[in-house]
Amino acid sequence: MDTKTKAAMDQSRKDVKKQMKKQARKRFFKAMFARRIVIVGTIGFVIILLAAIFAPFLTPYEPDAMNENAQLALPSAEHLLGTDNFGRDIFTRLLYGARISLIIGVLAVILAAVIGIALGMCAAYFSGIADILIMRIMEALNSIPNLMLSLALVAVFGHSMGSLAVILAIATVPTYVRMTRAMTLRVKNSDYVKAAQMQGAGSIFIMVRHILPNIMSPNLVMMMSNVGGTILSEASLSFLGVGITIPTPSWGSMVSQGRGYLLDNPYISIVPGICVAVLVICLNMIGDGLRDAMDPRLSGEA
Amino acid sequence: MGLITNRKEDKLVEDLLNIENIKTDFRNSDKSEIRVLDGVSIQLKRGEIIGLVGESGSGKSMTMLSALQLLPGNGKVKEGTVVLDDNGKNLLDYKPNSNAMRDVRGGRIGMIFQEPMTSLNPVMPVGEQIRESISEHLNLSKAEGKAKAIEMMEMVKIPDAADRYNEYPMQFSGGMRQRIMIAMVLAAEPDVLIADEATTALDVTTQALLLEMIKDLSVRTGISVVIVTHNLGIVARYAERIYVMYAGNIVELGDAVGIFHKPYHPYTKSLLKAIPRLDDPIDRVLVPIEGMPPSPANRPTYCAFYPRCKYAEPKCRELPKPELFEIFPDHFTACHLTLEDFVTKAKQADVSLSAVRPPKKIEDTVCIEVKNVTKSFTIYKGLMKKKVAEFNAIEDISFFVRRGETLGIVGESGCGKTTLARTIMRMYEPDRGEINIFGTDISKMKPKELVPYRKNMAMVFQDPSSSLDPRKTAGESVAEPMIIHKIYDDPAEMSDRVDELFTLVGLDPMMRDRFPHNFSGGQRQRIGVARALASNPSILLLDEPISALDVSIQAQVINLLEDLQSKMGLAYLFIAHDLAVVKHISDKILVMYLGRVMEEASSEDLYRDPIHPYTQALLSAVPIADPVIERQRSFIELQGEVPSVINRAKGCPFCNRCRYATEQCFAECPQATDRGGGHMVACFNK
Repeated sequence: MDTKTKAAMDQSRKDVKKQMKKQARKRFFKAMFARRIVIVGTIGFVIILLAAIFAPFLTPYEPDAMNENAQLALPSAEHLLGTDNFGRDIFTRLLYGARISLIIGVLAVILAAVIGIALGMCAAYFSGIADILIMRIMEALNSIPNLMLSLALVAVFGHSMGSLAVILAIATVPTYVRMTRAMTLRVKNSDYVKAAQMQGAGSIFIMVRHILPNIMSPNLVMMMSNVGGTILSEASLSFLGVGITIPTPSWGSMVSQGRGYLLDNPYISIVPGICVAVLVICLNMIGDGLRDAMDPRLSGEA
Repeated sequence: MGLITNRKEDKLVEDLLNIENIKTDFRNSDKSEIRVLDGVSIQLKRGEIIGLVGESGSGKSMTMLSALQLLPGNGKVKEGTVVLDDNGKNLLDYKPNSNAMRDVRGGRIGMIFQEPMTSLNPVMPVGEQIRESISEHLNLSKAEGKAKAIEMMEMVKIPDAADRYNEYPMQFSGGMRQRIMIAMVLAAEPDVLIADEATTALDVTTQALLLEMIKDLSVRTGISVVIVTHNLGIVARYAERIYVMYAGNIVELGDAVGIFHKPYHPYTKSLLKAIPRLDDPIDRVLVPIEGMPPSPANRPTYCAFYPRCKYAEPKCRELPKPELFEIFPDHFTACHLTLEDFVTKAKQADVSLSAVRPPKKIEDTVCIEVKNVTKSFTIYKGLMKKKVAEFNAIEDISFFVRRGETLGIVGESGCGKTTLARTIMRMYEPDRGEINIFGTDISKMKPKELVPYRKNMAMVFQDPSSSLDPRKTAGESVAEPMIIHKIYDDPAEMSDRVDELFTLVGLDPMMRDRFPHNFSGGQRQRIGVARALASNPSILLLDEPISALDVSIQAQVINLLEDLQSKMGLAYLFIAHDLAVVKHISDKILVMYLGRVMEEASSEDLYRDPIHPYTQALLSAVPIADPVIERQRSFIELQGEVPSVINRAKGCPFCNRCRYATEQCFAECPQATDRGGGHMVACFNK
């Protein structure tokens, strides 16, 4: 084969590859947004995300700036949602609070997924002692109520943003381990893994090349819906006063803080509460959409 | 009792079931409609056994489901009539769930499917299930019902019927479960029994027993039977008339002898040339049907077989779809071609057909030699992991394969074929024995030491859909062994080699970036072969490589394997349960039963002169796709079914089912002895 035809072949091959990627992407989004509710959820999430990112441009106030002249002010043109007992602008704190919630939520979920998937794969792939050890530890973790576990861990690690993410991650690791283990067991016994083993492939090679890609999509779906759950847990911790250090704004601590002033300015508590609920619902909607889009049956019809 | 009285006298007189011009559509998720059946007509006379053959997707099951209004929710019969008896009522006028239709389905027409376990209630004793279906149709007391149920179980030849009345479905083997299904269906004393691939999942000997029983039932009770299958051998042995289906149409129908000896339609002709037969001469070349059956969505308006037809003329494309017409008396076909067309085409085609298989070149180099290999497994049970049993899955197996040679390994499920393959591939470490690869014993090697030897052997798996990673492109899968063995440093070189491998197995290298689900079953199996060849092995283990493929595709893969062997001098270990295929491809054959070798001989010797009683029974159970030959053969009925290897008898593994078993057989295990010319038989009987 001369170089010219080979180059032409390579080019057309690249085109085919591109075309197929494009098709796959199109199919993915079509399935994902087949239901209207997923679109609504995505729009809601994007709005919250943008608000968190561009918080400094959306409000003239600083989240911690106190205004002694306007304590517990009701909503007005100056303060969209009024102020709290220190005269801090609620709307501003809400925007900055979204940052904290999202960062902790995403960080904790990624951490939990990485640890959980790695442990789950090892447990299933190596079986025997590794399996027994990992699974018993996970069962022990699971047997303690999540909130109790988090409270205890806060006492150990303190409540900076990083340690909160770690704490919330530890509480959700067992779910990933369980799911990953079950799926790995199935993939491990498939003929394509056997074929690789019969060629003498090592464990790491097989885990990275065959097992991981085949167990990723359900894990991604779970991660998406777990972000909501983790945000909720963070809010609960903050509500109990063991969350993020005051005065950093967090939706959970805002709800808790406004409890005493419900009659003066109910918005202090109610609005962050609604925000948590809306964000969690939006994330679950997206998770649902993702599940539809990653359904293995979908890739069968080409 | 209606069932016991002999209705056979008025056989073949009366039309019983008349399916006329059925057209069935399926609705897609995007509301478009696909025609899966395009005017199918079937006539069934009383007491007759007919065969409905076709590949998967040809619409054979759909025809039966349409007639019984059992279609899934998105399917709908658009046209056609189904008339039972001569009362002229169209069954399709009834609502699918109406009482009238239900009476027909349960009472007049019974149907059994491939997997009986899905139709049986796992938490109810089988006897009760049969009694229940009896009491739905007959008004009997509980005791009478039970007596009748036991009678039914005896009728389908379930041994110790009365004792097994209270057992659960999982306590029965696959063949026995299928009998229970038949007993349930027969309880209503139906006129028609439809067996939809009912024996496909069973072993050959079990399959033969079940079909013999059905035939016997039909003779005794006059029940009409429709055998729906892809296996031409089965219809040749049992059916009186045969309907051949292709792409939603009947393309040919006639009596069995006519279909097999005077096939007219090119599809029937090609199919008969594509399947290996037990009585084939040793140098027979299979002529595969190129291409694939069209998917229902892309069926052409002209003859659906045109793209694959060897005899096709331009007119076939221009004319609309051919209609059935009577070509010989009682023999109908749907083809535009005339006899003259065939004669002229046959002259041209004969040139290519006359290519006889070149004689095989078997060299003296022994690629793999297995000596006395035994592999045992232990069963642990309970909380304390108590050892409850230890059994030898394979015991004392020896053989060798030379360069360019094929060793066929046959046996029914549970005989240890797959364990043997995995032990050779060193997925398991054998307890005893040697596995020599070009003279080096690898049986005790550690994983690290093994890697260079693994390059020398590779395996092709049975199920082409599960043997390829769904998330890797075809090219990535093929390249994998080269990555593992670090054969190429330069990715471009490896990429060229992948292209080369694709071409070698008859695939377009342009397709290498597609994912497995974009390929058909046959193509996927080719990818599997390409992957196996990637590390340039000299030994290939083929574990049932064609049994998951359609009949017309099987020949393509068999020819590919034979072609590769002659080109590259590969040594094959061909594991299969299909004896006709094994005979076709192998030079010598190992017959296994419960982990032991019963007989080993050259492929010709074994089929011409089987010595071991098990081999004899096995061969007699395989149907040959020729009704004339079939009628002269006798079938050796084996007692019982293949026992689990855990319960292997102390003496000869086969002694419990052997016709000639003596006391010695029960006491000690016979060793293989040479009966001349390397024909090894493990039997005391001289």
